[in-house]
Amino acid sequence: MMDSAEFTGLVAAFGADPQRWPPEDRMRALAFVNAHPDIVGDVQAVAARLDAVLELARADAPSAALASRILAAGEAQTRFAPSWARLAAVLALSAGLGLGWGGASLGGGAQGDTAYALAFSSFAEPGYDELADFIDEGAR
Amino acid sequence: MQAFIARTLPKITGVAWRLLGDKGEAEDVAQETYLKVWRNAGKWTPGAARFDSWVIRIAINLCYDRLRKRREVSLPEGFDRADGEVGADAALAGQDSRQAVRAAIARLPERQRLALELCHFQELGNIEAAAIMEVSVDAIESLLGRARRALRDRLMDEAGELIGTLASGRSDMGRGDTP
Repeated sequence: MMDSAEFTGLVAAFGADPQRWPPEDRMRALAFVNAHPDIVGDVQAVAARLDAVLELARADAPSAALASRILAAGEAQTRFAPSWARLAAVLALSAGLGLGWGGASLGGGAQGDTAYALAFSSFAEPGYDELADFIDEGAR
Repeated sequence: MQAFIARTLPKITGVAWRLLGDKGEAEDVAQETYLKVWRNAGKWTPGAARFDSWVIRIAINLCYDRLRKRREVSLPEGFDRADGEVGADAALAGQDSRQAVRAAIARLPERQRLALELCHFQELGNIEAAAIMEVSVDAIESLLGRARRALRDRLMDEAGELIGTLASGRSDMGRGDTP
């Protein structure tokens, strides 16, 4: 069971919204909220006011043109990369992943991470299947 | 790749702007970050950090490089703020609530500012933020606690007015404005 000091520390760090609390602490903290509404009211109210004030300082979204500029710069940088460099980059990443030549079936976030890492490494547009084929071709 | 950039770019520009205090520099850092990712994606080690976290860490290192260069340049006495920053007191006096809160955050120590940006504004979990900052989860909680305590001390006297601004002034402070 969470005690008052731990709850106060949690809210002081992460704010009043339970969704922002670390998942590993959330259930215990909510149990404390339910058990001690007299204690948590003031603590959460102060934190909620600060949360609201902080909303004023949120960073602006990047300009719409920035992503296009970045992609163009990436294409320009990689336009003259020789094919052996592309293959070497993919092989290095594949070895690091322990995928072997044909790749491996990775699940969830790991698969997404791998697909994007391979996409950047191969200087190609993303597509896990295509990249796996590319690795397979390299093996033959 | 476009999807990855669309998802991570706001995080990178947010972190870079929070550390550097300049929108143009933040966008330059974002571009440099992705170019580094293109060149070095093969060096990412699965299992050590999420690919997103690794990319954000590259951006943070680029920011630190720029901050280091700034410190190496001898500045005139009393010149200790990034371009465009305004002291919290001055901004409050000018009734510019948004600028006041941003300036109060800008006055936090770098690591506190970074922890706040990652956890509060970018809504990353404490474990991911700790991995990005290369500190323990306990250290993240400590940095956040100190940051929020400092901000509460600086801002809560004016909180009612600031919150009022937030409630009534969203129309004239859209997120697309220049920071």
